[in-house]
Amino acid sequence: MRGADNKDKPALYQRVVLKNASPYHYMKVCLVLEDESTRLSAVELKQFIITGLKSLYGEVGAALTFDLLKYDEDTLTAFLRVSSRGLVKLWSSLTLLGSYQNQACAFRVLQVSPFLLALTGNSRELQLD
Amino acid sequence: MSVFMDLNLSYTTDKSRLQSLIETAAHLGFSTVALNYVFEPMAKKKQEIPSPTPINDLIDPLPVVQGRSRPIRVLNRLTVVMSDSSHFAACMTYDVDIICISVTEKLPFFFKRAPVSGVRSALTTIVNTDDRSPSLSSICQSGRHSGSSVSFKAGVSLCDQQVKLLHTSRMYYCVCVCVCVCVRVCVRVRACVCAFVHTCVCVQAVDRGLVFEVSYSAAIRDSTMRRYTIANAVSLVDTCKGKNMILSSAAEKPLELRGPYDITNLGLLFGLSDGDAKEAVSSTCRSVVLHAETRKTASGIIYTMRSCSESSCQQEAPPAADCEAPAAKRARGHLTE
Repeated sequence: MRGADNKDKPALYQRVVLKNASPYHYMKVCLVLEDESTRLSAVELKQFIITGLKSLYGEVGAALTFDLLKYDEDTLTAFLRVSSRGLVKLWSSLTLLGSYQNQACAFRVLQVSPFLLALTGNSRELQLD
Repeated sequence: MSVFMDLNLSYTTDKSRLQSLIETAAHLGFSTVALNYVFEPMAKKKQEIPSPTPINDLIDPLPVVQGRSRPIRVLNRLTVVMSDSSHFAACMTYDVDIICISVTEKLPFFFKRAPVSGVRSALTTIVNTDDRSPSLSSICQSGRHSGSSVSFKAGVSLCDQQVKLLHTSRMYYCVCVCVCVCVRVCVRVRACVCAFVHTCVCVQAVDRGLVFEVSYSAAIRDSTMRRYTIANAVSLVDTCKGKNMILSSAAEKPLELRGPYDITNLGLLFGLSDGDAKEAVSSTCRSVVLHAETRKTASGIIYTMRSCSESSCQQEAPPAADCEAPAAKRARGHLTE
């Protein structure tokens, strides 16, 4: 019995909880415009987001550093990176952005995660065929 | 976890726009939406209350909510704009579910304490005289019936929720203190003054089951309204401590809608905590809808509905309530036998 216990020792599990582990938050956003044929370059998109930050939070808000990691011009989908402290500011300014060059627009935030790897998969777009 | 709801979508007669609005809401993840019909009673003119068009006429089939296998549920909601005390007295006996207050340019939204007894006596005098529009009096008579024949049409209440819109601050106070049938108070910013909400009124409103609603689409349309919306919302959160609040869009176009997590983030901006902000989009909305449903029933147990199958698909009453009454009757019959 004792010999069996020594051989079949149960594996030790340790639970590690990380709070605010990642310094950055990553967002996958898509810009939906009234006129669907409009195209923006990466620079124009970043400038547009900075304008949104400035209109909501002023100069201090516009100074919030965020990065445009990847941008698909055809679908107007972008990956943004922002420091975790500035996530609420950036997200709320994206939400309240309503017009781009006199046409109505909306930023659809598709995914938000503190880890970039999590943005690779999206269960909403999963298709089981 | 409770589902996400957006309880304020503006109704338009443009069918295609309404369809795209509901489809966008379903795509964004809202399980329930409410179409808002606005009614502003004029003292001199006789007006018909807008009756809600059946959902099957508007959009058929209903789009499936993203992430769930069920179609979106569309409710109806009436907003009554009240700017006169005579309207208020008439509407006080009206069977309403939701009260919506709106600030106008005429009177600032800053009110003082009014003696409760004085208000009550004023109300009774107005009710005794015939100082109310005929359409409202017809509402009152129909509204006094409880249970089956409620609100506009006999047989089935087509409006699931009814809203009162109050212009003056005095009426807001009256409503919160005196009226016992309110469910929701909505703050919609129209004027350039900040709303000062009194804490005692909020407490009394919450006791009656009132819920405060903040609409965010004005903040998207116009930069000036953005400031007022945020200012009013922040003061409201301060006063009612973040509880019993819901956030909704008053969207007219599909591009004015935002996803539920975006609205939760806006709630953080208004000063709500994480939990309160999420509740404002989900469980508080659900409690409003349940409250509105149970108000049509007798003590929330028995309800009546039209027997044909078309109207029953929109009436999502709890199935337990339906089974309770017949089961109890069956048990009793068995015992007596």
